[in-house]
Amino acid sequence: MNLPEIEKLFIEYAAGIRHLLLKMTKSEDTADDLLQEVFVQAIKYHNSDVEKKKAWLYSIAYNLFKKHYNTIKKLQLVSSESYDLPDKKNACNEIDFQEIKKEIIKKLEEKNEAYGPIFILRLDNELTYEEIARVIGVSKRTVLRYFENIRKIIYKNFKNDITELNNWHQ
Amino acid sequence: MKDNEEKLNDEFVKQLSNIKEAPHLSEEKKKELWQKILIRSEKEAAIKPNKGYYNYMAKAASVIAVISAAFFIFNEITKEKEIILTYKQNETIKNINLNNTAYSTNDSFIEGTIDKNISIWSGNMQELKASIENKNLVLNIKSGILVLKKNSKNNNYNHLQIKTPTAQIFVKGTEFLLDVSEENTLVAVKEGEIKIKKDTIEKDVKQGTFWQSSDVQTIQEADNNELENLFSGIKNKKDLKPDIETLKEFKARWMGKKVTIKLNNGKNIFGSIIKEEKTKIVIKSGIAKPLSIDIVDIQSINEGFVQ
Repeated sequence: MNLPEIEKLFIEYAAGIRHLLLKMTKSEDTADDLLQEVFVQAIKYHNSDVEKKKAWLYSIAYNLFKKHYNTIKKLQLVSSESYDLPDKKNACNEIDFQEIKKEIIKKLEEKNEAYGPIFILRLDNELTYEEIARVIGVSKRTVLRYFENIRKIIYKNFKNDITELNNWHQ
Repeated sequence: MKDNEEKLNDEFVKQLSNIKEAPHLSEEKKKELWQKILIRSEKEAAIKPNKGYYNYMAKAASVIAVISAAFFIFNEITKEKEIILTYKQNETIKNINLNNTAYSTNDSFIEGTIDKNISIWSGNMQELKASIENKNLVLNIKSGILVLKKNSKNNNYNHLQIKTPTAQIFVKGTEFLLDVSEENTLVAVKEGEIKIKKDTIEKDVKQGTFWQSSDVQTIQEADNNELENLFSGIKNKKDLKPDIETLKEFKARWMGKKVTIKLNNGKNIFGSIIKEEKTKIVIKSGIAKPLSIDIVDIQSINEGFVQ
């Protein structure tokens, strides 16, 4: 893999990786800094043997975040207020959208710190279960089990909110 | 089974599509970040050792650096106690380094700082030693009163520990007072929190409370005004030896040998006798001002003391 190839990966995945880092670090500056570090490392250690490049980049990002987290000993997902939301939502519904998402992540974090990143990786970054397993460094079976728990937590606590939101859109 | 789980999860993700956020990064921002990445990569590459002769030299330098580091660490470990402050009553402080500016005033008062960040005020100090042990700052006190204020977390050591004949104190960042004798250690905390240890028992002593080694399990509430007077009294170098007349005002809070002493004038005082000599007894009179060792001439006591 050479520099133009890494640049291609950057163009393709930078937004998604930054999104994940932003959610986890709660700081745009830190997220940008870690994103740069992800690709500096990618350039430094690139290897043509690397398969599943997307998962590889996300795992670098996840490991850098863990290192950062160990330094600050604090895992807080970014609040929606400081984050630019996609344009497709209208202003009225955006408030519900932000609040529900914030509450869901908060609830998931209470149960297990790993649930937040998994939830974002699957829902927002659209990583497959295999890719999440590679990123987090666990088996696919464990990811599925985690996700089943996430599903149960959300159904138990937010079923009405989600139904309402879906109705709003229909 | 797995497929079924995946289907259920995927269906669930579909349902959540309304709260999905699409990652977004503008082209300008992308360009800016990519430029920064290239600059950082170039910088890192610039300090990478080249191959050939320079690579060989760099490796040799690394080996020397590792050996030097190991030697330094070995030295640090084997050098168990580096004395950085020593004080003995009626002697000037000696062996000061690590930016210490401690000094002694007349008699037994000490006022100064240790390692820039720790302020100390002391009275009736018999012996105080400060040393670095295994990267921790350790104060050894045989007997005396010490007010200590730890000002900052940026220190040249990992932890601050105080050893007395009867207890160990682990300082978390606080202002507190110690009254130490060979038989007892009293700790009163004005701000923050400290951890004490006696034998296998550990306790957290919080703001506004005090503890003493003669009653390990009990942490007592302290009167705020008393604490304030006590700390300011010591900081202002007030005489720590009260006269007998004022002793009557003190409340006995010592859980050891509590005694009542009847004075010549018929008044009673309360305190703990910690030392008996032929012509003197030594009394500790509680944490109220002046919290000190008071030496009372036994001839001035009418009926001695009653248990």
